[in-house]
Amino acid sequence: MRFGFVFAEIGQGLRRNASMVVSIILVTFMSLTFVGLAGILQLQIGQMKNYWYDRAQVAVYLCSSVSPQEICPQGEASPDLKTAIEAKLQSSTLAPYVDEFYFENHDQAYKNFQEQFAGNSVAKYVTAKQLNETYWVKLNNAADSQIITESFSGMAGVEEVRDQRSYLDQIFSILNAASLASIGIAALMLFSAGLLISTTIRLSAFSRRRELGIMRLVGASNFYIQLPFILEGVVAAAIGSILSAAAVVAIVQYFVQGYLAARLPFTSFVNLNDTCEYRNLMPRERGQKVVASNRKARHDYHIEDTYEAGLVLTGPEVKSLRAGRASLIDGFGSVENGEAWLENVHIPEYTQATWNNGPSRRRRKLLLHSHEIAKLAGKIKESGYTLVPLSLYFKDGRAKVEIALARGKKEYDKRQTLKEQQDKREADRAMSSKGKDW
Amino acid sequence: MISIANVSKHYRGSSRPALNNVSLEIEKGDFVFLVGASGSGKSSLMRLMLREDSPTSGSVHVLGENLKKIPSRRIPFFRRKLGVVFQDFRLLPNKTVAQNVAFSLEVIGKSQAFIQTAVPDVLGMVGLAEKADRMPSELSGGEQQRVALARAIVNKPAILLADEPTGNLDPATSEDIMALIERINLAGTTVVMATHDRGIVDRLQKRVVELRDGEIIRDQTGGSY
Repeated sequence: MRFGFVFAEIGQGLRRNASMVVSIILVTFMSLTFVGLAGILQLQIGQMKNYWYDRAQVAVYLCSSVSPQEICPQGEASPDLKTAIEAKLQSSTLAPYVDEFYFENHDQAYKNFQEQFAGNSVAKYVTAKQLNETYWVKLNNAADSQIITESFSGMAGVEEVRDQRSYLDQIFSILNAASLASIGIAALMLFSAGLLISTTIRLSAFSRRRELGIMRLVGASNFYIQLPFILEGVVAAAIGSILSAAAVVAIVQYFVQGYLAARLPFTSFVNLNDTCEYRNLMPRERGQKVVASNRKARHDYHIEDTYEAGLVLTGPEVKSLRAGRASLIDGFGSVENGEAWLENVHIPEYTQATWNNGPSRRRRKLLLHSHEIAKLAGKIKESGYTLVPLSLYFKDGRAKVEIALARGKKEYDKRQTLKEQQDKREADRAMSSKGKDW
Repeated sequence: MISIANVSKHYRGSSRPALNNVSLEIEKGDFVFLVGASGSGKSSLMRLMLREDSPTSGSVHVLGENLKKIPSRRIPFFRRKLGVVFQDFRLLPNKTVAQNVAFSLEVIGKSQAFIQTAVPDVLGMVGLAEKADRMPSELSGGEQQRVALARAIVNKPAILLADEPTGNLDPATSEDIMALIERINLAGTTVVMATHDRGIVDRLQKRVVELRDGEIIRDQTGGSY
């Protein structure tokens, strides 16, 4: 394979089909930009949901003199009702869910209304009496609004219970529709980009049919014949995708953060860090999962110091560990030429892997910091110290071994420990109230 | 070397077979003329040997390969052992003579070092050493055919297939080309040449296979047209 020759061919092809190549670049650019916009919109929706759902309150509207007769037969809500509502909100059933609540009377409602609709003609016709008195309830968890709704809906004197999230949901469904539309457009454009690329390849092949005929004649392999064409499409598409990445970054940086954020100061907008967060959408393994532990080690050794070390493993070994099959019994660590090793630990062969299974008690390299290794090496040289693996586990998806600097116990030490444990157990039993049958 | 047994070839859309139960054996080092009127099946036979087509029935063996069974990814490697020249030269107009010959080596992945020694060698052999940097359009027809020959033999093929290589050339130039092809044959390369040129066939007195309507009507060693 001669790369110079292949690259010369690609260059020639790109020049020959310049207009087609430009159109591929544009179409991939546009379609990927739409994909990016859909992504930004989704992030924005997520962010706004977080922001607004936290602030959403539940409104308990009380009957007013103008409320419909069939819901509020007794007219204006009485002071008794208000005390009843307050008592209910403070009762032990509801109090755990409620963060805080406050009462808005006719005059406050009128004031808020006038502020909200300042300049709108409706503000002139509304009187304070027409606006409901309201209990605004802020919940600890906005998702619990159902509880408030159920508690107050049927109550006499309550006109309506309304969760503000229901208004928000409408807005979000519109934004969702917009992002779906943008994904749809992107899909359509990606499809046409695919068609364009295949057409270009065909055109390019047609304009080069003489060379191709000769190449076939002298026995050029199919791969060699097709490679320049495929790479041509790849180059064009790569340029388009780089451009679209730049466009998405520019949109977030200059339009969203620069323009929108300056004009709508109370909304939190996506920023570049968020767009980079996309990788977090990939589910990643978190937390610890113990595969094997060496309980005998604590019985046989005094543990001086423990270290967490990474392991150099092969694929089948990791699969075997994930199946929870390993034994640390008889395992030990060693230090040699500034490298730490884990020896004699048994990781059984992974049955689905065949030829790439290694010996099950292979010597495996430990990943430790050089200063840790230096420290361990110094200690091990002193007689009586060994390295023993205590447990083998996955931490955030990576296999780790907890290795301990340990000193062997003499037989009387073991007896001593056993005795202490037994004494402690007995003491505990004596102290606890359970099992006292006298 | 080439063994064709009971081969028939039907093209779609024509009732008459292009080849009808043809059998032919060609040994290593042979020089074979395929003669016959246009449409008698010469070109079809050559296409089968090159594995550009496969026969409707019968078997074709070339260089130990059963061309009916060869997987398509092996075909390019099979063709590298064959050299081919045509009536219309088939040179790349935007490459120089040397580049045209080098191209066929580049596309099969030969090293630059090999190309740099092999190309001047073969151009010297066909007598175009001093025209290596000319474009094909600046050459006469005979010279262009010599470039095509150089390209066909630069890879030292075991078989040279020539489809009317002198068809576009005047008699004097044809003689030069034929002398060249004879030399290639004397070096051990099997030559199969389709031609209409009565003079050449009569003068060389080689093996002649005559086709008519897709059938072999004569296979004569030391024959004439």
